[in-house]
Amino acid sequence: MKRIPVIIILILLVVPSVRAAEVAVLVSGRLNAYEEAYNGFKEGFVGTTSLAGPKAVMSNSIKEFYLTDPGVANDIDQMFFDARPDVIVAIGAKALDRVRSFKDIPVIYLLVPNPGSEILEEENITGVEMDISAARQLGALTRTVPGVKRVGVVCSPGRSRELINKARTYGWSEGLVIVAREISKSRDFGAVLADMKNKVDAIWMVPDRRIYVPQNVELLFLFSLENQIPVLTFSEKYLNTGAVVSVSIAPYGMGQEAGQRAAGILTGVSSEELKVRPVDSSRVTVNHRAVRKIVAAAVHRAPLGEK
Amino acid sequence: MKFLNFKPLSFNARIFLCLVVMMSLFTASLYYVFIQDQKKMLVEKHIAQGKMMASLLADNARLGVFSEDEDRLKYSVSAVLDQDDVLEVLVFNMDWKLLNRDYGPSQVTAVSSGAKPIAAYTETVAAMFSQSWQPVYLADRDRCSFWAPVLARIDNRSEEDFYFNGGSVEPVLENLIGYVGISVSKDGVDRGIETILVRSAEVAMILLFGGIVITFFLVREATRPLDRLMHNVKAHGINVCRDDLGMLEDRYSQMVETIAESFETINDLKLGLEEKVEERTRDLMVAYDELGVREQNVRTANEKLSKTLAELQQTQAHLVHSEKMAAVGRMVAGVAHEVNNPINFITSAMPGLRNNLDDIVAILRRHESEENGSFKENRPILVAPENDSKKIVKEIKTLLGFIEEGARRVSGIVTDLSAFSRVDESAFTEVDINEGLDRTIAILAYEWAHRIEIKKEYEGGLPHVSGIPGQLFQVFTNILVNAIYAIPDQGIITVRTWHDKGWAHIAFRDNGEGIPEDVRKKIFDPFFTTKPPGKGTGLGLGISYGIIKGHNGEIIVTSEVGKGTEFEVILPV
Ligand SMILES: Nc1ncnc2c1ncn2[C@@H]1O[C@H](COP(=O)(O)OP(=O)(O)OP(=O)(O)O)[C@@H](O)[C@H]1O
Ligand SMILES: [Mg+2]
Repeated sequence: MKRIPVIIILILLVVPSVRAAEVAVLVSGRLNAYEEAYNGFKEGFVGTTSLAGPKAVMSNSIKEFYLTDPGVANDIDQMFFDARPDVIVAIGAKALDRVRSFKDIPVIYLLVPNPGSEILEEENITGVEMDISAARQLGALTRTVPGVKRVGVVCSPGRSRELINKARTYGWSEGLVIVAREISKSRDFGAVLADMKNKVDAIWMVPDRRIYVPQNVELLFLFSLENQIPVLTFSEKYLNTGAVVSVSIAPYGMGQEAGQRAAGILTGVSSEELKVRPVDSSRVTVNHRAVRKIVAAAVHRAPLGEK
Repeated sequence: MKFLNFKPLSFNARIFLCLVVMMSLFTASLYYVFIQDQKKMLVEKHIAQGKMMASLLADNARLGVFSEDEDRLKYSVSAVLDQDDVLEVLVFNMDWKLLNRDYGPSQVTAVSSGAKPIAAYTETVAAMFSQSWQPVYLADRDRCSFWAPVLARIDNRSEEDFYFNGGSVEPVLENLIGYVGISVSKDGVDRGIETILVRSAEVAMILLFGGIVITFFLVREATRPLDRLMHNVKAHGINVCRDDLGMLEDRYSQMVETIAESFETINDLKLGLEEKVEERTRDLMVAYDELGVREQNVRTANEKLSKTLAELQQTQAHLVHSEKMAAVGRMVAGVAHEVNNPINFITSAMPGLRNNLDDIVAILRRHESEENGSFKENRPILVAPENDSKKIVKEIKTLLGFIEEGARRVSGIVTDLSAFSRVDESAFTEVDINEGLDRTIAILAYEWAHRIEIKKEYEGGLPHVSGIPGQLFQVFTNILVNAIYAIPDQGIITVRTWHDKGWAHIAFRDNGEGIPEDVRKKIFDPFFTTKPPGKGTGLGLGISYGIIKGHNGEIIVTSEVGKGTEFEVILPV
């Protein structure tokens, strides 16, 4: 909460200037998600500023930099130092990492999974969180696989605890039981999974890199297939490998949110709006092939299981 | 190649043997090389398969090893255990803790044979994997083992990769998380090798057999000329031993020697010949010179001869003339004799006739005197007037008959002669051969009628021959005279005539002394005669031959010494 006044000061410093506002966008790489997010950003930013009225910046320019382009990675500090953009937009974790040193330029990040707490403490940095609420995720699962009662989730100690708690809260209201297991070594995952075999109706794959090493991702979906237990995941990426439903952020929408945020910074909005906040736009994708293979079989099996 | 000279065998047998041995050696070496190659390939394949099996198992067991999940491991391993010859499968984690051990169906025998347990290799394998993560092959006496590392992917990617697809350029890193080992018995390889050995041996034997059969026929075909040669040699009566080639070689060297000797002889002869030729040439030169002289002599002799010939021709003309004269002489003699007889008739009748005439005169005078009364005849009348007159008339008639006969004979002779009067005529007329013969015989026969009988066997209807009568009669005269001359004492001459197919034949056969063979060749030569000098000219047959040739006819002589001769004249009708 310390940083809000600083931002306001910064904005005050910026706004009176006669020159056109300049937005520098630093993209971590040429990833589809990044491109979508960038496009969304442009949409959100231009749409917002054009509505801002006479007080708005006369003309705004957006400059884009790709970290993976030749030369960019080395010269970016100097370029930003010389150009002194009014707002820096960092898309992806690598981009955010590079612009942390500019403490006097407002930075908006997006598509950065789990930014460290030290970043969240920087006053000139704000962004759109990638976390999607437990309710939305579990809701998508119950809609796709209606009979689910018990949801298994494996996580590292301490991690995702907040999310699980929220899930439990949601579960109470919705009649879902969250079966959570904590493991400290990734190689225990297989054993835990085996143990969950008859205790859960679905597995909820949470974004935990320490657990979901490639072997365990494989194990998870093997387990899912072998035991007809559907998997709810956090990224469309895992639909291909066998997840039934994913609830993921929509990069375009996320970009739009960031664009609005950037416009807000340039026009000077309330400090409340500048807080880091979870993404609003998410999307649910169902893997119908997996549904046919796993859920349909599970439904047929259900009466027997209940006996 | 020494055994090629192994004498007691024939050449084809040796060649055949040699080829068969070579072929066998070739087949054997080929077989050996092939087997070695196949063995190597089989073993390599076996190793490659084993390594691949270990790699696949390592990959399969990755999740099981990672999560140390026994059930999962057993499941992964089961596929490998199904393989033949797999004895034992071991799965270790990174610290060589045994995670799983399974035995294949053939392990029982392996264990009972006291083979070294696979676990004994762990240290070796660990050492090898510390350098590289390639699959490892270890071989023992009767079993071998394949080892492969179990590798896990390290999550070295960026945070975004955990969430989003694509974009990551970092290579995937792997981490060693365990080991798998498969122990395999060598039976499979051994069985494979055995199969190849047997199969190849079968094929080799069949090929070899085929090769031998073909070689047999080829050798037989190829050595056929030699066989023929041997056959020829045998046909020359040379004893052929089984070492035919050696014998041929001997024969050959003998022949070469003989030829060399012959050449030497020829050379010697050539040298001698050259000397002789030189000598002869010298002689010839001398002879040539002599010849020159001789030629000169011959030329003079020739001149003399031609002179002589001219003289001779003159002489011949004289002789021909004298021959004619002789003939005429003979004819005159004949004519004289012939004429003499009838003249005798006449002359001997004359005295009687004169007597009778005197008687008639006396009678007449008496009659006159009786009439005149005066009968002054002093000669007595011998017969009674009645009887006398009758008797006288009878006598006169008889005498006149004699005279008539004589006159008739003479006139006949004259007629005959008139034929000869045309001797020099040269005009061809129709000649009645039989009549001509009669006349000739009539003229000639008188002289020898007492000792030679002439038989005539004429063909009645003999056609007339176109010719010169005088010449033809001269021929007949000549032949008849020769025949008479050839009969020393009593004899018969048969004259026959006949004709056939346009030819008239006149044959004169005598039973005289005959003509010897060497004489007969010459009898038609002019001046050839066997008569003593001065007696014959030797021209008779020569002229006759010319005449008959002139009439397009022929004279054939057949004779037998001591029995007789036959001259046959053939004339065209
Ligand atoms: N009928 C015959 N029998 C035996 N010898 C014959 C007979 N006819 C001819 N000759 C032989 O042929 C020879 C030649 O006969 P040719 O009439 O030519 O001559 P010639 O009789 O000896 O002499 P010429 O006729 O002049 O008296 C005779 O000397 C005689 O030896
Ligand atoms: Mg004569």
